[in-house]
Amino acid sequence: MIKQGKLFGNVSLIDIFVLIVVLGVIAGGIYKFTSPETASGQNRATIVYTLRVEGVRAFTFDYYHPGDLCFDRKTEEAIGAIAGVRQEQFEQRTILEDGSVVFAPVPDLITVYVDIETEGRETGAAYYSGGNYELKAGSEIPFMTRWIVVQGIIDDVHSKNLYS
Amino acid sequence: MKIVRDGRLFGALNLLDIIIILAVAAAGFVAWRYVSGGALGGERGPIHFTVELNDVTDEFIGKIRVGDDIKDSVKGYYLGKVSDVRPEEYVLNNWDSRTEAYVKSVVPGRKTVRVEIAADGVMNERAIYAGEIAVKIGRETSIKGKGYAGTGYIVELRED
Repeated sequence: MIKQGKLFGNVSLIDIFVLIVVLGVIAGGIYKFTSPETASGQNRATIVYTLRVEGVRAFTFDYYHPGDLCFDRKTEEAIGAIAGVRQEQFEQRTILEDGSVVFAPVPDLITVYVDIETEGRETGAAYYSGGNYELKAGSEIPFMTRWIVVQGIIDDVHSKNLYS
Repeated sequence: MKIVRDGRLFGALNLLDIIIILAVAAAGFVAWRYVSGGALGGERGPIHFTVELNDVTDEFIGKIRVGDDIKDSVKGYYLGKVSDVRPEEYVLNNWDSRTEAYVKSVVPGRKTVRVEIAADGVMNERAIYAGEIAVKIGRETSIKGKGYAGTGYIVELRED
């Protein structure tokens, strides 16, 4: 069967290896673009998620602009655009002398809530931003826009509509 | 038709040829990104940004002068020139157990200084760059001038 490194004396093992790699790449591409989760835009949706940025200085609020594009700081992947922004007084969890816990306001510090909208996908198991970034409440995102860089926590994720 | 013949792809290119072609292509891509777009592509214009240095002395502040050249003290990139120096009280938020509230406390003998830097900026939708550094509110930045250095956060940023 294998003669002088050639299958049936004609096709070399290296040829076969190259063919398998090429076929694998083609098959992967076909799966990627035609699998039920990605085909024909069935699960495409406008995903809205809210990022909570806690305990930051009050002046930073002026640097969140609706419409600004948002990126993951580590991967630089686009993760949507700012749809809305609001702030509230930051309250620090503090333990009193008797052991009880209170939330006390800290001067000049705020919590910022940033609503981010992205054209992404919704599946039965997850929400994804346009760039296949999985969005899940409770996860931290190193987030940046043109103006600002912060660490935020996703508070809420939902799809705005489905284009079925 | 054989894909690999005598160690050569299609009988013409050997592995070394392919590696050289890939290396040249990669170098060309990097050069193209640097010169005409990519990471630092964008509109050019003057920018100002301010780095806040905390817990410093008056003596330290006296070393910083308008017009000083400022570099990033970690990477060594040139950032711009000092355009303003603003000393302020160094204030901390401390817990007052008597009133059970956070209060502002001035630290005696220490100062905060805001160092404004004028730079030639490159601006695109992702960032505003001073030299090779993406300048953003909240970014920790190490700066150095002649005879001084410090690390603080960028607290102001504007395009002119």
